Amino acid sequence: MAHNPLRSTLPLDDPYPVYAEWLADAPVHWNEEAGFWIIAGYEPVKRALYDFEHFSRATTKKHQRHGRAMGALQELHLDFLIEIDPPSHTRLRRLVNLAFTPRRIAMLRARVEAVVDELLVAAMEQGPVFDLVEQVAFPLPSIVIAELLGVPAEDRFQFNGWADALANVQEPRPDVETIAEGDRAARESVEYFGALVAERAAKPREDLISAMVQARDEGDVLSHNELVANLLFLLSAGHETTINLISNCCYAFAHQPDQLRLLHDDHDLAPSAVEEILRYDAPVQLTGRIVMDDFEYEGQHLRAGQSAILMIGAANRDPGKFDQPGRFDVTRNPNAHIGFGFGVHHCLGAPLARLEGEVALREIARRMPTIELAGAPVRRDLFTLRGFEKLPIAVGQLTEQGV
Amino acid sequence: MRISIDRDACQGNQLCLGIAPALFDVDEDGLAIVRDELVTPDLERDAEQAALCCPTQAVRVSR
Repeated sequence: MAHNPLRSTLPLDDPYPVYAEWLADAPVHWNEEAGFWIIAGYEPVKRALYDFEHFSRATTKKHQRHGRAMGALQELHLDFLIEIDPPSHTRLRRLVNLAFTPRRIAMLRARVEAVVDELLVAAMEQGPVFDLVEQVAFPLPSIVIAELLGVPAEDRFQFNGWADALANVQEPRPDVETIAEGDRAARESVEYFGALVAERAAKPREDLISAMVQARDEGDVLSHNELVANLLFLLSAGHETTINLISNCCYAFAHQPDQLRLLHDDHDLAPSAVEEILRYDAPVQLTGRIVMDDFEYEGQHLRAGQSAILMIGAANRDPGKFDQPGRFDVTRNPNAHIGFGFGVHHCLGAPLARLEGEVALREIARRMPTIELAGAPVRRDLFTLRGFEKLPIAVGQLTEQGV
Repeated sequence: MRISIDRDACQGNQLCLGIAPALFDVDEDGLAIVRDELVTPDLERDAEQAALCCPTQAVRVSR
């Protein structure tokens, strides 16, 4: 990804000072070197997220390939929920949505609690120092999404490779090599999910894949290609972002122990802590759109066909919207962050992410009165999905009183 | 103008509530409900906005 045009503008470690400059001086501006618009202000980002008639998602991937032959991944993308506009989006999302209603997700709570407990006990048995990503943040969402979909847990390391390849393609202007890797992941996963779908069609189970196979077979509501594409999409989306939510929050706790202390003393703050990390250090920092018309936006002249990068991570730090935006405050209320996006592409898995985040952060805070970094964290080399590959931490021990 | 919630489509994301708290609320299941089916003219723009922004197109608006 050597050509990522954001690299020369944004420090990967801490992009927030640059975001602050954009917010102060140029909430909507043209980046000459990259050749795209950067939209950073809270209201402009939010409006662009829901105005799909002016800012389309559907053509983003086509545009990025600049007329190159269509690869396997791009064919899959044609059906990805995140890559299409209404009305196709409305029909597909309704179907997939069935699995993510608050009631369905609430039924997963006991299972999520059991997985979190198991992971934390195993991690802390090794001693007070461990890699939070490897031991907790990575396995939790991958186990839960695999179970929800109904894919064998032992296959999840393979999924991680595919999810990585897909995450790389989400970066602005992926290079040829990155796209080729995405294509390979696409071909492999189509084959894998095709086989799994055939298996469930012959022998249905109580899982999401079986439910989706049934929807496919009950009429022309869901084509086979749509089904396979969105299984991969759900699997990778359910993987990546929750890892980052949990690890970004623990990183913030290491730097602001008072906030961990608040949650340690009052577990009921866990849902509010989830919302605050989604604002303060959002797992998804940006999303791309294609301008569909010539029009004026925030005093700038946008032209049809241009790319626009919507900087969610910057919008969430807009001082016009948030009081002391640079302060990580687990008690923040109200907190109208757009960490899950806004409008039709608002995160489909939000109820699941909130559940996993709440349980994980609550149990981490309950068992760990202090968290310190135990070595240098390794950041994922990505601007779109912000998080860690490794986050070694040292946790303080509970005293006998459990304080 | 009248509004309603398609309860099968609602995912409980509460975007409508954020946009127009005067029009929407949530029930104990976390799903959206309307406070009043009839929308007064001053709130019609908010109702349309909520319908446009609902990720699952669960907010229905009719005239």
